Amino acid sequence: MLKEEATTNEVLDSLAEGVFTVDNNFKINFFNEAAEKITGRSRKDVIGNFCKDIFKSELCSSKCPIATVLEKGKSVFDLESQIQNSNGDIIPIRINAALIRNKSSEPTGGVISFRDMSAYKEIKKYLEHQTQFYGIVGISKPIREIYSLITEIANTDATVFIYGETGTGKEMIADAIHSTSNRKNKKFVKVNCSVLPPQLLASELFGHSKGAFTDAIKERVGRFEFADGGTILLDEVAEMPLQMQLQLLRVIQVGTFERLGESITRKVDVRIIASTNIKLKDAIENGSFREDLFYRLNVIPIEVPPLRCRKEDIPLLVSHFLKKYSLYYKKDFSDFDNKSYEIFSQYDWPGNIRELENAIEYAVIRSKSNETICACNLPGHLKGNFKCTKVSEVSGDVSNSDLLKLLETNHWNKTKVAKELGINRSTLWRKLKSIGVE
Amino acid sequence: MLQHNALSHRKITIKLIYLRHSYCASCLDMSEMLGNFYFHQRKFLSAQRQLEQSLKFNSSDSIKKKLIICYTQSGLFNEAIKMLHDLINRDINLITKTKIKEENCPCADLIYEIENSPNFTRDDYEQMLMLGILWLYCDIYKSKFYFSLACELNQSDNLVLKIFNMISNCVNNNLNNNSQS
Repeated sequence: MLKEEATTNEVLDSLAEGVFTVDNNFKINFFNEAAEKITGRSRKDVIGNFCKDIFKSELCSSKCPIATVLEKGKSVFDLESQIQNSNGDIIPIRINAALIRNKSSEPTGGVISFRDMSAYKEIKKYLEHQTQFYGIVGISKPIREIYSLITEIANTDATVFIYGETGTGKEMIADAIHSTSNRKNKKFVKVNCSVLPPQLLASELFGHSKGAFTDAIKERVGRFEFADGGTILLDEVAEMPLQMQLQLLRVIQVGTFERLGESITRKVDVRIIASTNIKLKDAIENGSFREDLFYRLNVIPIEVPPLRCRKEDIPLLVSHFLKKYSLYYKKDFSDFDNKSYEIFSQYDWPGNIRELENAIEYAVIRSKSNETICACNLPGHLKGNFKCTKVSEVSGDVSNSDLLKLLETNHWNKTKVAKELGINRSTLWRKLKSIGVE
Repeated sequence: MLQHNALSHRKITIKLIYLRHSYCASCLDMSEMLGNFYFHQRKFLSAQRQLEQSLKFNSSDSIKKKLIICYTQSGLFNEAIKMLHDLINRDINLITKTKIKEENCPCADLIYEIENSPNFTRDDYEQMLMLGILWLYCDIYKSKFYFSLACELNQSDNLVLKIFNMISNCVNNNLNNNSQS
């Protein structure tokens, strides 16, 4: 039993989330290492004290998560709050709470896990305030025209159709449209029409009644119903099966639909934004997309330019992502070197902004803090045959944690990672073995 | 703070009985923990409701100690006195040795509010009784003082008199032990 408890404690101490438990008198009786780190308090100072005296959260008096579980009989997930650490600093956290029960199912205490959201809050704050238009970065003419158009349609509920290659920021455009609309305080539901098989997509969008199909063990509210009063984004709408396109057409025309397996007609008031990276003209010609649906959706068309058509925005985007990932990885960089900017401007960016973002994240991981990022730290397909003239930052100087991150980014493809680092595969294998990674 | 409202004692009891029967059995096992939570929040009426439920299944001294305080705040002095008598008859230390900080006992704050209230008077039987009960958790000598005032104001309550006698005996024993040492 003792051995089992020790193993459990080891597991809990290895988590990045803070975890603590209280007895039925709300006194702390377990406090893991991450909780010590986040709160700045050692477990020996905390155990035996009332949790409200340690955390000093505004929730303690008004909406204690464990009391909420007791009152409602349901565990609490992702509750946002803040606590004071030992220095008196306010730490934003996100909380999950549940009851601990004995073998007779009697509650004997509660368990709370919490995550420090400081870094996320800082990134979010930065992203909200350091962009040109509701999270979108860019000052080029095509993108400024999009800003103007979004502003013009702000007071309407007109259906919008967003076109653009993959990675151009269609979802961000949709976010900006919702944020400027009259429905900004209502729900904004996003559905990717390409990831689900046809029957599941129908259930996802319109819901189903109990027993409508084999796994329908209870009724389900669909996304349209859930978004009632708000906005729905139908991403990759051109991938939608034809039968579903017909149902969608009816929702757009009269605002009604039926759940799968039901005959009750339901009415909703939802503003529709659709997006696609497919050339719709071809899809209509080959019969995979309904022309009548196209005309219904295409009230306000917005074409998002590919990154190669707005290269004047690249420096701004680079700066934006560099700041974002510096915050995320807790590193500090002044900028990229000139060679990097040369590479950025010459490259075609088939993956558009997403590809640029990935490249910057990669470079941030590979580089050491307090430096200008060298072009040699860019992904191999960008830097090509470029050889760094600086004393190597690669191979031997790569830290263990950076090496592991590189492996994760490349899905543990050691050949690829070795090539990126400019070393032999067997050298990489030896390095990994030396740090205990097979 | 005294949570005594305009309802008479009988009406409060009826209301509580009604609320008592509105709980389902599966909720009862949550009662002690929830009662403890409300008690720590100084929501004595809510705490009382939960702790009474849990007492049916768990005759714990810890629950009774809290309930006594809750009863003083909802004006149910008969219930408070009865429960207090039962506890100190077994062992007066159950109350007098309360660890105020560790148990988050609200008595000191409640006493301060009453004694500094503009309505405070030593001619009010219920106030004297309440202070006698609350002081027993903090200071047995002050508790004896207020119980003596209560007995002077109402000589017909035998249970209060019994409690006063038990407290007096304990005080005298303490004084004897101190003089011997």
